Amino acid sequence: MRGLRTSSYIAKYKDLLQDVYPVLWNSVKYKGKIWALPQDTEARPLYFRKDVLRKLGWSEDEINALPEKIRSGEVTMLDLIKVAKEAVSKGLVQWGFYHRPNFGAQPFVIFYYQYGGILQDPDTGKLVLVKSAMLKSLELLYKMAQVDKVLPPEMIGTSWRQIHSDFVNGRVLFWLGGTWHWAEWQRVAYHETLGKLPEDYEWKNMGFALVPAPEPGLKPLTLSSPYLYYVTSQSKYPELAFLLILLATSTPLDAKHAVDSAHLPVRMTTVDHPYYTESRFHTEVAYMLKYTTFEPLHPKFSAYKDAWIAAITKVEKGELTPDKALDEMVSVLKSEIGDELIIKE
Amino acid sequence: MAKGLGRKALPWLFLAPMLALIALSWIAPLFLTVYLGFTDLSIKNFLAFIRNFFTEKVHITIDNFRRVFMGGDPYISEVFKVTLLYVGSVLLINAGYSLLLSISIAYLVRNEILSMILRVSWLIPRITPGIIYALVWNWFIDPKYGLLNPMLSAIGVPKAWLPSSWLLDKPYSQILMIVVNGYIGASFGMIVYTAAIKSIPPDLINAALVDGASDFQVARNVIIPLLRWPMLFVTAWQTLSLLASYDVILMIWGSGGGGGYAGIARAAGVMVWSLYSYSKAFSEYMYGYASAISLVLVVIGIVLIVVYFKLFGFRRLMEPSRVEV
Repeated sequence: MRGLRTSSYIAKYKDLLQDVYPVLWNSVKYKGKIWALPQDTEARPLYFRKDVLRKLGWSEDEINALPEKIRSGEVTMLDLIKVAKEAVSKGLVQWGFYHRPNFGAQPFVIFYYQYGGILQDPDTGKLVLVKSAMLKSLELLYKMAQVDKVLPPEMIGTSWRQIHSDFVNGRVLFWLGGTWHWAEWQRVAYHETLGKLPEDYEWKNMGFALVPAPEPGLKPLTLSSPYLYYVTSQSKYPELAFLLILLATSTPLDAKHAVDSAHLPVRMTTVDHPYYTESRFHTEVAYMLKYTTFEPLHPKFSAYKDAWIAAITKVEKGELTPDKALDEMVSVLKSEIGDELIIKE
Repeated sequence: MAKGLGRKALPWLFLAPMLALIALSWIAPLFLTVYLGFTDLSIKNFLAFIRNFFTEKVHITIDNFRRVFMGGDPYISEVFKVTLLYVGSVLLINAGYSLLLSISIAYLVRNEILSMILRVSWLIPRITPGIIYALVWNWFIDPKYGLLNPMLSAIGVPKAWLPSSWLLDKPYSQILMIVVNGYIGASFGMIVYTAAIKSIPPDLINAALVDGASDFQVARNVIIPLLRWPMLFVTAWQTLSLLASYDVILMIWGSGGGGGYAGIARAAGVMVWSLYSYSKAFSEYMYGYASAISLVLVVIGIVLIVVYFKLFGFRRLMEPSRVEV
């Protein structure tokens, strides 16, 4: 069933929607029109091990200032790669960085956006490949896995259990994960002696920040994949359905859902709700929504992701150089997506 | 007259439930696959397609087949090669190795209890839920925590020969694909062959032994020639199963979730034809093209069955047997 264009209702009830994070509307737009209401969201931070940084000689002030320095662009991925190299060479960790073992957007889409890439043309809704941005993002992954050797070349396909276990036990310095992992580590026994982590342990040994700018002059970002509420075009009472989902995203319910499910709120007023302010993690991470980005809404994006992850896998393993991987990706995407793809230099 | 008619109708009455089942679960999907394969059905025209189902408004085209056979799909030749490797290799295990296994278990192992234990142990992967089987393999092959690499090191395989990732490093990833599927499939052939071996009249084997035949000669000259029917059945059945199977590959290489499993399978060299069709249908929503890809498998399956009938001498097999097996 098709979704109903909800723009007219949003205009009618705009007074009840003023506190929705403006950036979240981008996640429900297709060809310039709004089709849904965001139900919840999250952010993809860069987690870091404070205990490892301490062993590297960082002071508490320096560690606590890291998220802000990343936010301001003062610290970039290039700086953190150097830190990771140092930690690996001193035997403090086995790996500097871990990222997801599958596509999952983090950090690939973020890097691509940071280098100036876009994935969807706002007017036509077509998918977009900006070759220069894609090449830069592949080069960064190549540098991390093959040149500086701070990222495992076989990161794709690594088991989730190993990923969580290695970060939670301090064998990896940086983890490009999701906000919900903070709650997962408290609920799943990944730590070899503590089992499920007490939140105090997390605050003492782990920190989180935006995904840093890849290099000076670029911006830190994060990424969200909100769940959305649609009203179907078959609805007999679309306005009533719209009001129902409006109520479902109201501040008290938004706060309860965000905290209980380790997600982020869709309304700015939620961060002041007592239920929300009780959660230190949620309060401290909420600022990331101002820096968030989204994956495109397009039926062919799966084909795009498949070609992209194949390129990433080959680049990180050293099977293809970034430019060769990009060439392969471009030829595949042209064939798979055809007219629905715009390629920019 | 009425009695005669009743006698004629009776078998059809008994067959009716099975025929209805076959019509619903096999003929109807095949018919639909053929139909969809000649359309441009995708997520974009899905609703219009449903409305115009089987009317002249549906765009009938051979574009899908042109794309498969005329180089329009950059992956298809690679997918074909991987499928050939997959079906050929796993078939050797499922139809060939299981024969050796059955002869060993049903003939060479004389102790019935031990023979039963061995048979049951080979059935474990088949009776294990697929997702558990895939999960156990994922743990087993983990380069850091899994048992596989340490076990191979323990039996003397040099560390340099071991892959850092069984999932991604070719040809190890392809060996893994063959082994995980072969381990399940071998049990099917083993059951069929073992039942057939057990039903060979002992007089035939005893006569050969009295004449001084060795176990190897008994197996080669008495048992195997009497297993042509089961061999034809197992080979044909397993070929069709393998052509259509992708579930274990999807579960092992797509276990991380998060999308992009098709890209990972391609990079690892384990993208088989049926998984490709699945990804085209349910990741990229190109239902028409996915049906066309599946249809190619149906044709290949039928051709192979005809070839097997020739190879195994189907006509001779249909003649009355000189030995009851």
